[in-house]
Amino acid sequence: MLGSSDLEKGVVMSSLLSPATVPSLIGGKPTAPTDIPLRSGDLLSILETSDLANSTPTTLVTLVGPPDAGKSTLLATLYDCFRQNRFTALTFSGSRTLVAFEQLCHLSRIASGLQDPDTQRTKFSDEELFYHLTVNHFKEPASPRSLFVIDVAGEGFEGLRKSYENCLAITSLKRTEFLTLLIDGDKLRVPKDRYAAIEDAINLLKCVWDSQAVKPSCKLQVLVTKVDKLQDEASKAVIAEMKAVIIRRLETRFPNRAFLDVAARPKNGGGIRTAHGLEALLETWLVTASGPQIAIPTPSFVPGERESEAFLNRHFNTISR
Amino acid sequence: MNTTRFLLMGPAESGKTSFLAAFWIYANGAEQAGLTVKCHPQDSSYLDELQQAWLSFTKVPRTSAGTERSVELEIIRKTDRATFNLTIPDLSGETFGEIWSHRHWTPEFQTLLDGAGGALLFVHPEKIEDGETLQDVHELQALLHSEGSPSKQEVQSQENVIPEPFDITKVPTQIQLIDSIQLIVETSKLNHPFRLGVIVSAWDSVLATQSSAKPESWLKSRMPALATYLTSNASTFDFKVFGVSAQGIDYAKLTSTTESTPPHERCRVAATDILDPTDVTTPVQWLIRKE
Repeated sequence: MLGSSDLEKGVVMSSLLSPATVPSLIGGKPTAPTDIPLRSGDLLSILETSDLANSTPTTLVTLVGPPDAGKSTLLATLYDCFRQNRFTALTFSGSRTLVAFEQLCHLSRIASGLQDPDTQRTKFSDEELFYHLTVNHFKEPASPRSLFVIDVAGEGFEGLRKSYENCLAITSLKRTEFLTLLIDGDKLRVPKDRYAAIEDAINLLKCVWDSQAVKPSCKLQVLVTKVDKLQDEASKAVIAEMKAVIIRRLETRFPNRAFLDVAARPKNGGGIRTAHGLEALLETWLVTASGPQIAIPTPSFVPGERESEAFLNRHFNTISR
Repeated sequence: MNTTRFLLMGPAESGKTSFLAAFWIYANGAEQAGLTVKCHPQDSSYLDELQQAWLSFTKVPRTSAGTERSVELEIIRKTDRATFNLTIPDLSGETFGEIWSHRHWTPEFQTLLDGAGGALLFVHPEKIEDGETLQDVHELQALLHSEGSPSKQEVQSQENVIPEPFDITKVPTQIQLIDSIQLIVETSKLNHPFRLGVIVSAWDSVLATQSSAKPESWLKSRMPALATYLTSNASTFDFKVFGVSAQGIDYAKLTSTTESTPPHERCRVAATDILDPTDVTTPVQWLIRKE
C-alpha cells in the first residue's frame, strides 16, 4: 500500500523500480471515508463564489425572461462558443461549473441522439445558483474577469412582475451589475402575443426598479432573441416600436439601458450566424463593467443578517445605492 | 542529486505507457538521447515487460486501475552531467478519468500531486470526444445542400425521439481534461508556474493526413478551449505541446522494411525549438530543464 509518509521518505520509491502495484488511487463510488472530496462542477451557491470573487474582478449578471425566451439556449451557446474558441476578442480562461454547462448543452449535441438542438429548461429553484466563467479579453490580456450568471427560471419571471416581495426575495438582484431581460422574438412576430410580451417586460422592469430590488447603477439590457426570424422590414419596425414603447414607459427608471438583438441558434440562415450578437453582449458584461474589485476576506456574517445577503454585500457591492 | 517527481496523466489509451517504454529504451542506450540512465534499476521487471512488447511491435500492456506502477530512475543529463532521481507514477487512464466523473480522490493521490515537479498530459488524436453540436451539423448541411432547415418529416421524427440521458463520461475530452487540471491546481501544492507538457501521442497518425501539422496548431484546432485555458493562465502553467510517435510505426501496417528499423530510430518528436526530433526523451528534458 502506498502511503504518504512513505512517499515523502522515498521508501516506496527506494527501489529503482517498485515491484509493488499502486492500488487504485482514486477509486469509485461510494467514496471511502478518507477520500478527499472535490467540488462538484455544478452550479455555485452564493457562498461557493467567495474565493473566486476574492481573486479576480467579477461581474454579476441576472438573466430574466419568460419561459422559452431563450435564456438557457443563450447561456449554452455562449459556453459552446468558448469551448470552440469562436469569439474573436474573448477567450476561455476557466470555469467552476463545467459539469453544469455540459448538462445544459447535452440536448444540443449529437450525443443526445436528437436531430434538432434543444435546451434543457431552467428548473425553478428557491436557491440562487450561478454559472461561472473566467474570461480574458484581448484588450486586457492580464485581466481575467470572473463572470457569474444567474438564470432566473421562467416561473421566477412571472413572480418578478407581480410583487415587490418576489423581487426583493432574489437577493443577488441587489448587487447585480447587469439585469439582462430577454424578449422572445417569436412572440413579437405574432400580433396577439406581441403586446402581452412587451407589457410583461415593462411591468417586470417597473416592479424590479420601484421595489428597489436593484441598485440605481444597475445596467439594463433588453435582448430581443431569435432575431433571425425578424429580418423583414415589418418585423424590424415592430422591434423599433417596441424599443420606443419601453423607453417611454420606463420614464426615468434604469437610466443605464441598452437594446441588443441576438440569435443564439438561428435556424434558417439568412445571413445570421450562430451566436449572433453574443460576443457584443459578453463584451458589455466584461469590458464596460465596473473596475477591478479590491480583494475581500472570506465573508463573516453579522448576527441576524441573512448569509447570502451578507456575502453579496461584501463581494458584489461595487457601487452602492 | 536533483529529485524530481513528475506525472504521466491522460485518459485511457492515450499513449502514456507506450511513451514510458520508449523513454526507457532511449534513455537506456540511444546515442542521441539527451538523458541517460546512470545505473540499471534493481528491479527492472516492469520496464523489461514494456521493452519486450515495444521491441516486438506488440501493444504495450496498458495500465489499468489497480495495476499502476511507479518507476524510479537515476538519470544523467548529458549536457551538464547533472544527475536526477526521476520518479514517474504511471497512472491508469481510468484513474485519471475518475477525477472528472467521480469528483474525489484518495490521500495517496493527493500526495503524488503535492510537490510534483511537472506533468506530461497525454491526448490521443484518434480517441477524442469532440462534442459536435447539432447546430454545427445543420450549418454544414445547409452549406452542402443549400437547404438550412430540416424537412417536415425530420421535424416530426424529432418529436418521437427520446434523448439519450446525460452521461458525464462522454462529455468532450478537452472539458474533462480542463476540469481535471483545474481540480489539481486548486487542491495541490504545486510550484507555479507548473510545468505541463501536452503530449499529442501517435503523432505519425496526424502527419499521415496533415503532413505539415504542428503540435501547437493541432491543439488549438482540436482542443481550442484547452489551448486557450493554458495560454490564458500563463502565471499558473508553463506549458509546451509535443507531438510524439512513441511506437514510431503503425503495428497494423508492419512490413519487413519497417520491422527492420533499428529501435533507436523508431521514435519521432515534434515541437517548436527542439534540438533533435529523433530523441523521445525531449519532453522529459523540457520538464527538468534549468530555468
